[in-house]
Amino acid sequence: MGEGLLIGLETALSTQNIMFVIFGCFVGTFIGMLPGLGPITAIALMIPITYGIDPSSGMILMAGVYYGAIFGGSTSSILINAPGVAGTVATSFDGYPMACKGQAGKALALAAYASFSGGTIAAVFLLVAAPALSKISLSFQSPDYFALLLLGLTAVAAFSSKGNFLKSIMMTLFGLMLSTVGTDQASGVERFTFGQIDLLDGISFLLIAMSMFALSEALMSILSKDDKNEGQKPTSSNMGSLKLTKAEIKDVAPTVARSSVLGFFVGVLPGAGATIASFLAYGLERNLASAKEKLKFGKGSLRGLAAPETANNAACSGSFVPLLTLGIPGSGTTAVMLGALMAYGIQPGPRLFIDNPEVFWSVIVSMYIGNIVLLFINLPLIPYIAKALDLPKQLLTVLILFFSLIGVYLVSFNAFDIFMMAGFAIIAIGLRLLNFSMSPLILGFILGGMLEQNLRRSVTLYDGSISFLWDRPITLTILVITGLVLLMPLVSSLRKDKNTDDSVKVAEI
Amino acid sequence: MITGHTKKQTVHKVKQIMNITKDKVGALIFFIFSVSYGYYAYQIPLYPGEEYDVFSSQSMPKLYALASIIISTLAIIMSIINDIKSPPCNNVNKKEFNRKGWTQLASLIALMVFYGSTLELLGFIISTILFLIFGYFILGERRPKILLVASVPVVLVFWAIMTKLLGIYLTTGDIWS
Repeated sequence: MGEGLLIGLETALSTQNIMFVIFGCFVGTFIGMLPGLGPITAIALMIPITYGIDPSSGMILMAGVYYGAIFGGSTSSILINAPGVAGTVATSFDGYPMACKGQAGKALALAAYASFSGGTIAAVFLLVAAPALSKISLSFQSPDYFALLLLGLTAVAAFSSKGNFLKSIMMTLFGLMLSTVGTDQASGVERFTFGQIDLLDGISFLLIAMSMFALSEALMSILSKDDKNEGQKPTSSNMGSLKLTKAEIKDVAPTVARSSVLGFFVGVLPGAGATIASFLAYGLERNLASAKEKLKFGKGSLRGLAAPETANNAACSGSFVPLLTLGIPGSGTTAVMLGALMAYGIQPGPRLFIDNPEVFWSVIVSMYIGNIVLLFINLPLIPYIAKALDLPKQLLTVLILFFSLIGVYLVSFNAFDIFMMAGFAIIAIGLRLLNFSMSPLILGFILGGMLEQNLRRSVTLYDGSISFLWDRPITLTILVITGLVLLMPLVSSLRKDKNTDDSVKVAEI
Repeated sequence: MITGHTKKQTVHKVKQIMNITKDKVGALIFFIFSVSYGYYAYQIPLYPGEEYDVFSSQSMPKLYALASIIISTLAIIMSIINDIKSPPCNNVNKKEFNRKGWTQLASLIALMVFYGSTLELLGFIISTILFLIFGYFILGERRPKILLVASVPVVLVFWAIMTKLLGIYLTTGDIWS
C-alpha cells in the first residue's frame, strides 16, 4: 500500500495535475452553483477536454469537478436557497436560515470545513478499503459479476425517492435497451441500427450523458424561469465573518465524526449516494440532539448544517469504492466516470489496482488534494465566484448548450450526433416532465454492455444452463441480496398501507 | 338490481381509472416502446447456425423487452390502484402553462438542428456565431452590443485554442472550398 501511495502522490502532485485539480474544483464549483445543473453535467462537460490528456490526469480533473460541484451546490443552497444538486438539499435546511441571519460567511466556512473533514476521513477509509476489497474481488468470475451488476442496477431503483421504484426500474431498462443499439460485439450482427451507418458503433455514452443531463437540464431551466428562486440574488455582498469560534468547532466535531462514517458507508452501497447520506446524517443528528438543540434545527443550527455537508462529501469518496474495486458504479456520477475510463481503454475493477496503479492511487490522493483546494482556495474566493451567478441567464444557458453540442462533435466530428442530441434532449425533457429520474438510465446504458457480456460468458460456460445463478456461493449471496433489495420498496409500501389502514380504523373509532 | 347510488359509484370509479395521470402516461408510453422494441428484437438478423447457440444476439434484447413489458404493465396497474385508493384531486392549482418558456425551448431545439445542418456547410466560426446570436436572441437578449460581444470573441477564442493551441481541426465550411 505504501508503494502505491507513493505512486499516487508522485502522479497527483505533479504541477500539471495540481493545476487540473484546481481547475476542476473551480469549474465544478461554478457549475454546481448554477441551480439545476448537477455534478453529472459538470463532469460530462469536462469529458471532451479529458480525451486529450492521459487517463490519470483525466480522472484527477473529473474528481476535482465532482467535489467542486458538490461544494458549489452547497454554496447556492446556503446563499440563495436553490440547491444545484440533490445532495445539498439538506444543506439548505439550516444553511439558508443562517445566511438570512447575516451569517452566510460562517455557514459557508462551516460547510467547507465539514466537507473537508468528511472528505478527508472518507479518503482514509477509501485508502484502506479499496485495495482490500480489490484483492477479494480478484476471485470474482463472470456469474459473480453478472450478479453484482444486477445488484448495482436494482439498488439504484430501490434507493430512489418514494413511489418512484417502478419508474427507476423502467429507466434502468430504457438505458439497457439503448446500450444494445449498434453492432453486437460478440457476433458482429447489427442491432436496432435501422440501416443508419452512423449507428453502427452504437450511441456514444458522452452523447447520452450530455443530452440527458447537460442539454436537458439547461433547457428545463428555461421552463422554470418564473420559479420562486428567480430574483433571489446571492447575498455575496453581505457575507459576514468566515470565522468559527472554538466553542462552535467543539460543538460540531462529534457531528462531523459521526456523519463522516455514516456518509462513507452509505456512499459505498450501490445506488445510495450523497443525497441519501446527507438526509440520513441530518435525521440522525436531529434525533441525537437534546430537546433544546432540536428546536434550533431548521432555524440555523450549526450541527444541522455540518451533518449533511460532511456526509455528502464522505459519500462521494465512498461511491468510488465500488467503481475502483469492482468496476461497478454506485451512482449516476460515477457511472459517467466509468464511461470516461472505458473510453480511455481502461477497465476499472480489481485489475485496475494491478494494471494501472497510477490511475487507482492518483484518484485517491487527488481527492485529498481536491478537499484542500476547496478549503484554502475556493472558500476565500466564494464571494467572487458567487458574482458569476449574476451573469445573465440567457447567455449562460446558450453557452452551456454550445459547449455540450461541440463537446460531443469534437469527439466524433459527425454532425449527425448533433441531431441525435437534439432528439435525446426532447426525450429527456419529456421524461423529466413525467417525473422520471435520469441517473438509472445512464447507469443502465453504461453497464448494459458488461451485463450482456457476463451473462453470455456465464451461460456459455455452463452450457446453456442457468445453474450458474446458484452454483457459486458468492453469486448466490449477491443474488439473494439483490432479491432483498428488490423486495424492500414493496415491503415498505405494504407497511405504509397497513399503517394508513390502522390510522383510518382509529379515526373511524 | 343496481341502485342509483352504486351506479354513480361505479361511474366515478371508471372515471378515476380513465383519469390520465403523469404516472399512467409514462407507463403507457414505456409499454408501447417496449412492445416495439420487442418486435424489432425478433427482427435482428442471425448468422446461419446462430439460432442454435445458447446465447444469440437476440437473447439480451428479448430479455429486456420481456422485463420492460412486465414492469410497465405492473406500473399501469399500480397507478390505477393508486388512483382508486387516493383519487387525484382535480381542484389542485395546476401550474400555469408557461407558453413563453415552451416557445423558447422549442426554438432552441430547432436552433440546435439548424446548427447541426450548417456546421459543416458554413464552417465552425460562422455557424457557431449564428447559433450563439440566435440563441441569446431567443432567450430575450436584444442589445446588439451584448449579442456581438458574447458571441464573436467567444467563438474566435475557442477556435484559436482548438486549432492553434491543441491542433484540433475545426471544419472551415464546404461552401467556401
